[in-house]
Amino acid sequence: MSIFSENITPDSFSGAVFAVEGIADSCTVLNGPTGCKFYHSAISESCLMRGPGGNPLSNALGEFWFGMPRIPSTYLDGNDYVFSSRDKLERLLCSLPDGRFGLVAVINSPGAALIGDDVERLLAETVKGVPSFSLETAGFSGTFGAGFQKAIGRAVDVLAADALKKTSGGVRLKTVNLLGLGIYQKYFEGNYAALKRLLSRCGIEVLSAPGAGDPSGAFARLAEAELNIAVYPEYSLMLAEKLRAAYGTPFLSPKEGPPIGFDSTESFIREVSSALSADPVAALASVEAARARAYRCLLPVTAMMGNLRGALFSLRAEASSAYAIVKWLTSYLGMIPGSVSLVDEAETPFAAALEHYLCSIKRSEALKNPLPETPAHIALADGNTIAAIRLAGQHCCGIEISLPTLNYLDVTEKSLLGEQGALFLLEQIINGLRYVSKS
Amino acid sequence: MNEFAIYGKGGIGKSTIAANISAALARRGRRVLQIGCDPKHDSTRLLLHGARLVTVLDYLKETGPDKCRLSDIVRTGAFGIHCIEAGGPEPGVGCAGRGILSTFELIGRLGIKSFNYDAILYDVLGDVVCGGFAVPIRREYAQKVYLVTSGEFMAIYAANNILRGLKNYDQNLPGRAGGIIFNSRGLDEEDRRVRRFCDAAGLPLLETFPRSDLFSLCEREGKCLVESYPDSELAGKFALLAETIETQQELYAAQPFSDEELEERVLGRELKLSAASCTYAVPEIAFDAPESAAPRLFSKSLVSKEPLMGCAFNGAMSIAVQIAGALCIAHGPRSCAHIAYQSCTSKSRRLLLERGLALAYTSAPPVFSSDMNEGVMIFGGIEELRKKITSLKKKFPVLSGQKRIFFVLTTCPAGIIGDNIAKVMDLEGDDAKIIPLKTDGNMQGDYLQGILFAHFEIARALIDRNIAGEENTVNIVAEKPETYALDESFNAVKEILDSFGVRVNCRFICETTVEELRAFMRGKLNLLAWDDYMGRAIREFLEKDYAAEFFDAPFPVGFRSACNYARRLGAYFKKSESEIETLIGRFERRYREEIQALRPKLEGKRLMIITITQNIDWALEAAIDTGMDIAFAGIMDYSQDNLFTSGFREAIAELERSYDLKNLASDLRRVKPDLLISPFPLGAEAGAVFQDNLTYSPTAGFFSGLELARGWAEIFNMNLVEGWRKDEYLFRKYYA
Repeated sequence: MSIFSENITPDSFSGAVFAVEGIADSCTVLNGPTGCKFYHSAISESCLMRGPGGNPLSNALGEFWFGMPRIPSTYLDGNDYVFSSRDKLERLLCSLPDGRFGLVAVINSPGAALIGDDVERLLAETVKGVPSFSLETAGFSGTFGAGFQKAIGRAVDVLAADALKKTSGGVRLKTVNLLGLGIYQKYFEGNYAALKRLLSRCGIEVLSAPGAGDPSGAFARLAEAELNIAVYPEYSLMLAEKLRAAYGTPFLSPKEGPPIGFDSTESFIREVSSALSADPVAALASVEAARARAYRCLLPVTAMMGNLRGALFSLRAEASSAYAIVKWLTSYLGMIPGSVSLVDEAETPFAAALEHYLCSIKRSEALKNPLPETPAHIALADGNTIAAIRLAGQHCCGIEISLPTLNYLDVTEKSLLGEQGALFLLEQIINGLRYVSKS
Repeated sequence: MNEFAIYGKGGIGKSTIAANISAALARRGRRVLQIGCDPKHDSTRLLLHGARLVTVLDYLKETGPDKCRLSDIVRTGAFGIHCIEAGGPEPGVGCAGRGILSTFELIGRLGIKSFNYDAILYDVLGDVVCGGFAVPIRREYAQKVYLVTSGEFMAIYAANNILRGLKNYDQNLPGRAGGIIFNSRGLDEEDRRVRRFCDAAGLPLLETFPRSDLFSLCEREGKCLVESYPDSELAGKFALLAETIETQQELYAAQPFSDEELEERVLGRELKLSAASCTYAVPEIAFDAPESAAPRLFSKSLVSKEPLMGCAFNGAMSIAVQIAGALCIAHGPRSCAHIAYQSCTSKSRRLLLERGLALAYTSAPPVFSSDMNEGVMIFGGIEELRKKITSLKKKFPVLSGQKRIFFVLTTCPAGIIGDNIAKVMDLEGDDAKIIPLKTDGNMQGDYLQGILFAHFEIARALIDRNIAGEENTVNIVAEKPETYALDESFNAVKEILDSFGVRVNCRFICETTVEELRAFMRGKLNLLAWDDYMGRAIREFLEKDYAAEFFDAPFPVGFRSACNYARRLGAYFKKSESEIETLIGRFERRYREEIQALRPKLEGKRLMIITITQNIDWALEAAIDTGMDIAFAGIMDYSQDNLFTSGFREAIAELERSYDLKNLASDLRRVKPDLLISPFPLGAEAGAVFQDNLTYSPTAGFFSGLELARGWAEIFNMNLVEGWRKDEYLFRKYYA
């Protein structure tokens, strides 16, 4: 019997690290071993490159950086676990260059979280004039979303605590924050830009998307928003609740999930516009135009290669994204879900909605079918899952919708969200099917 | 609000004192919370009349984070005092210190301090044994710290240790020591010793409690003395002490002593440092390693006490996944398994995109996480590990007569809490063999140490020493599965072996099977892939432990090296000269022809090399054969080896060892190379000079250098210009 393991997704520890790394001028200090540092440093830099990099052997950055421009670490070893990491951490914090960072966050690795060093005190003593916080533990094997929101929540505490008091005008009408976007998401920059564009057509300004590349200064504007949008509920509902408690900002969790595909994008526009009494016409018109363009492409394609209807697809995603994608591919293209696998499975409303929907189209077995072995023409997943499907011998086209990637280098901006995201996915599916014979 | 911590040696009566102080404060009309911070969870027993409450840590084990409520863990005791017990794991398992951290995190999250207590009392385990038990004396908790001691030597030692802990936390901040509470045992000289300690430490003796049967009576009643005998003299003392603690303004800096000072100044004993005398005749024990002891080979980082690069857990995982059909369980939090998984699959993902290949061993490696969570960190994770192994056995059954190999690799947290994975060995049976790889994250060492450790442990677990060697059969040893040149290098050597009729028995340990490893001894000769630190360590191990015979050259890289390799290997296997030269001739013709074709484009070009690679003769050879001038070679120090040698030393115009990259710009201006090669992009500092990559891990075989020279020729062929390099300032403008 062949063994096809499932991609092991990052947990709350990585969620916290990538959350802070998604603040453009932050410094994540990892109180932990280099084994934890190297990976997160490399991934952060590949997702959101901040500088020209350098060679991996240069010691120009100093003792704690190991030639990598991100995430200095205390390079803990067995002795430090016994005798404390305090001395190294103190030296590291004292060595941080003045004026370079808008936020310093110390995150304990899972091992360091067991030592019990008083990191908060060290921070208070050594890091002056820069907002800072520490996470004693980001959780052990918790969900990525839990760690992400814990870290962003702490950043809100230190960067935006007095935000409302400082804003003279209080809440600004027709403004929103986008919650749940982060650098460990495929095309996060394109997704952010796509939503900004759509919302601006409704006359809605996006103030910030904490953790998705905005600088620390953007946190000060969080409280000004009239509405927070929990784009990906898995990564944002706790944070949205926190902001509601802190600033009284209401939030909206799109009922059709993140705006993936035409229908959920239109739903997203209508919901947000309605909540803010904004005019959705221009944004809906852009979706309409995209639908027309899609039609123009689909018509000759179906004539040339037959219907896309009936093509099998497999999917691995968070429940909210999975719900949006399954609905779109089944109802717009007439595709059939072979296997649908959820990341961080939990009893969420979207997981239930997905199950209900699959049941309604008589494909509930898709949630049980093993993903690598279940026949599919198109697989929408992370790079590892796509590789596992290929290893299982399937002649199938993989479309990357999450990390890790197969290392295709994206030069032009791409997105999965909004009407442009829908066109991009459509392009991938059409061309993917050209190379995969339906059997 | 008054927050104070009571510390003291275990068994000194600390909890009795603490409960009575709480009771006395409550009698003064104060709202009091007492938090027991001892795994024994008996701090509040007297306040609760012997009733046990649900400890925070037991509660956390059973309750989801969103369902936690203070009302479930706070119980009201005598005088309306609120009681919480942290609890902890069974002795000998898990991490009690982590338990205290988790307790404080939970009650903090649930807003315990927002309930307007007048006093919070932390009753803490006998000594500040680790950071976890020091949490109550972090500055966000106890504002005052009190020490309970008797006049016994060990109690005073413990009190002094607590002062050390407090000093570590206070450093240059205002002191927080409130004073000493003397709980007398009624011993001779006790009173004077305690007073000497107070005087020397500069701390007030706040109260003395004489030995009294009343305490024992109250214990039996399951109540505290202040409740049972409220009008007694002792209750009066507790009332006075409670008032002192509540109103005390003046606090003191912790001034602990060295052990010698404590002995001489306080305990009145002279510490004599002399060898222990032995009055009985006992056999002497020699501490030399017995001959049977397995060699311990360590990575260079460990030996040199350098920062550890990566972790042993990850290194070991990279080897364990190379054995077909074996399952690898990462015993730790999911983050460790995630990092290891991504590390194992990195090359596969890239090769799927670049070459359309789905690599059998690393595209979906059999790595599974035991998903250690918060509760496991405190109570130990063996049960979870057992469940994981059992479920995997069920999910991936084997045919009758076969055994599935389970590797259990431990992470830092598993090592720190001391999970004893020997306790899952009983799950072995007819269908399973469990091989523990106790790497403990990076506590065994760095990534390389993990690789070595995995080779050693897997060899010991699987190799059958009774299998006899076979003629014309070799093992390949110490390949690097993560390198892109893995297959090409193996195939290059295999081509030579095939032409001599020699069979590969086992690749140790790379893309292999349990059966091949078991039959390792069948390979009479061992061919080392890399003669670097890793290769040499594995070779030494196999030579010592398995009397393995090694061919005395690693995989050849470059034309001359490959010719020599083929000649010597042919001679070893007693092949005729004509057989050997026929083979070499086939490669030589092609090499000479192609080099000749490249010469017009490369002849006279000045080459500059910056590298950490210690053997670059394969690249120098290509440069020399195509008529290039080797103007400069800068060899940087490398953590693994600094053994640079070259057969072409004479051809290098300028050679600099321990090269410092800071000199690159000035060296470039002086040397004026046409081409700069290095294993990493040198960015703006390299200016407009043409650059090419010099891989860390070159492909073995006759044409390694030729491939490189082909790339150089392309660069010069059309005098190509890279205008994008001038735009670095734009990158900085928009992105940096």
